[in-house]
Amino acid sequence: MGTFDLIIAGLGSFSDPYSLFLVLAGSVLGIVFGAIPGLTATMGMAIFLPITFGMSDLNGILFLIGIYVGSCYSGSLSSILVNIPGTPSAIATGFDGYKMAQKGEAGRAIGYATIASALGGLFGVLVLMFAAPLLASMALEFGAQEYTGMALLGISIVSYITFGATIKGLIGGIIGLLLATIGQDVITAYPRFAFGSKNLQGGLEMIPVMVGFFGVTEVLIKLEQEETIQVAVSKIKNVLPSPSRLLRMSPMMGLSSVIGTFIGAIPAAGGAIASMAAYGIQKRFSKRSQEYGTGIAEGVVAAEASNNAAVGGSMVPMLSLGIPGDPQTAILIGALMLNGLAPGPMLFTTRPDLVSTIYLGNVLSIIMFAVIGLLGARYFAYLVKVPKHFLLPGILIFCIVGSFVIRNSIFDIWVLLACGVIGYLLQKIEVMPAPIILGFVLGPILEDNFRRSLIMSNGDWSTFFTRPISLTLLLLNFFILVGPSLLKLLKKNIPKHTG
Amino acid sequence: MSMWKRDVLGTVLVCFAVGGFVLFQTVQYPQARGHGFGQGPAFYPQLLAISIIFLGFLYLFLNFKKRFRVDQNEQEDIQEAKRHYLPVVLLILLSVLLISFLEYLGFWIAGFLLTFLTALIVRGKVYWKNLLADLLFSIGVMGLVYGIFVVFVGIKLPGSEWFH
Repeated sequence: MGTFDLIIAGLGSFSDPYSLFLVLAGSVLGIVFGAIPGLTATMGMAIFLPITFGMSDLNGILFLIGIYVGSCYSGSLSSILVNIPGTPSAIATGFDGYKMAQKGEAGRAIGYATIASALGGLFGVLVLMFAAPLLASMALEFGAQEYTGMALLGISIVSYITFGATIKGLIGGIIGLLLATIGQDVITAYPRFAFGSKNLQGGLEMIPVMVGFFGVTEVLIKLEQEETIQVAVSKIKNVLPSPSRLLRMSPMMGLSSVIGTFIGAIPAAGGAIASMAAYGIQKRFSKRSQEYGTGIAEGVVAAEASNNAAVGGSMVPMLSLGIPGDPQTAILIGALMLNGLAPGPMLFTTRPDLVSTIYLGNVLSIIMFAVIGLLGARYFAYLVKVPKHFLLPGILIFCIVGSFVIRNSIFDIWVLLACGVIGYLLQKIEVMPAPIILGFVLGPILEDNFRRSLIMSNGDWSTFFTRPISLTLLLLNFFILVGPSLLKLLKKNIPKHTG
Repeated sequence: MSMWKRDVLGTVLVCFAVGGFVLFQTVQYPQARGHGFGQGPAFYPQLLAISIIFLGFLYLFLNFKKRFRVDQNEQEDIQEAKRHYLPVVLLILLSVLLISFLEYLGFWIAGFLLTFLTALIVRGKVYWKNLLADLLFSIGVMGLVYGIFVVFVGIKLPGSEWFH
């Protein structure tokens, strides 16, 4: 099915006002979760995923996309107002955004962030619409060996980019992969790590694990920190940016969008890397490079266009390969799987309406956050000031309820708490939740394809090296993990010229 | 006397503990036959266990030269950190207690208590004037949970065995 046919197929989903309401509700929730420091897009999606049980699969996906897209935008609000990024993808926004707020230009910074996010996001969706079906048709040629390489690539990249040493990221990834082995073995059905428990024999449910590591862990971390939030301004005004200035910035926005979409499409890369890369590149090549970091609109635009473009990019591997582009798309994959759908190339032929709902849901969410952002900017200062003694108990109770409703099982609440405590303790040694969760989500894909490859080749490991795509992916893995260290070693040993 | 940085020790211990535990458990699993090299349910977890143990050794080796003394500043940091662990420990104990009694108290009572007491733990001190705010907030949150999950999603949350 061509891209335009897909779009037509999905238009029917939006004839129902309830669907439009869910996109709006999701966008508003996403803006709230992204704006409040301490809450994240991933947390919001994980907590509200159980609510989608009462909806059709199309409406559930629309709701979650609203949260995802809204929160990727609104992370910039707390970055600009209090210099605490609401989401990791808004880190670069604060470099100039907060400085603008300190100069009394908070409204303008929010206006530029909103427009740049919207245009970058639309670009990302456009690329998604054309790239995903293309990649999906190529992915039909993928075998078990290629999927093994893709899953390993996701873990390698997230390990490389995670805060702290790459080794810590790999340790987190392996812990996630091990958590995914709890339960019945995929091939022999032998119960692993069940210790005689029927609950453990069924394996760990995705939601309690995700919400535990992203929600409860954050609650515990925030509990031990003493932080006071200083808002840069109390009044926000002059939100609408100058159209002529926006037009002059359009080539820069275009470039940032391209960078964001491309980086977002790399499994596990995500908006944080995209926005930092775009900011760095724009700063390097701009005529005003000396002024970056002092409070210029160009800095805000460079970061925001990129991080929202990355949303569309991250959905490319999700839709075409079934591999998450970031933790948020891992949750979208979880939502699809909970509805009995398998993300991957076959989705384009079995459920074209769902694929196009994802496209159009993105576009609608972008329009909604842009309108809400421009009209509601003056009230955003209140969002970031929600006190901890209200925020943390609220998050905790929603985490518990969200985990319970999956199977109506108190065991899942115990899993939630255990994962929260384990995540908290692991953060003490700088092992972050993102690689753990990606390992957990990719675990079944990796093990299933890895073992099938070896069974089909009768135990011959060269099967991974004799197929060109599989070999390319393995080499990529190697360069990502070992390349930077090798380069450092080479630089040390190359003799310097003197005189 | 120089000491290992706490982070390095912790990381290495985690790697060895996780890897060792997995190897210990999986050594009892049956070996499958007929796949050329005896692949069974233990194969993949053991591969992961060996990988994580290897990473532990690698991290130890890479940090071998970087070990340094625990100095005065770090001692003060450790004291500072201990003080902030108390709310975390309290919250974990409270959660364990209430989840253990969830079936008996029912979700609404246990949930209300968890919300209210967590708010008190986060504040750190009990001010009588804030008690009313926390009470109202807790009731409000439970109302929101009811509206979203019971009314909107249609889920039934567990009732109490003690108070029917």
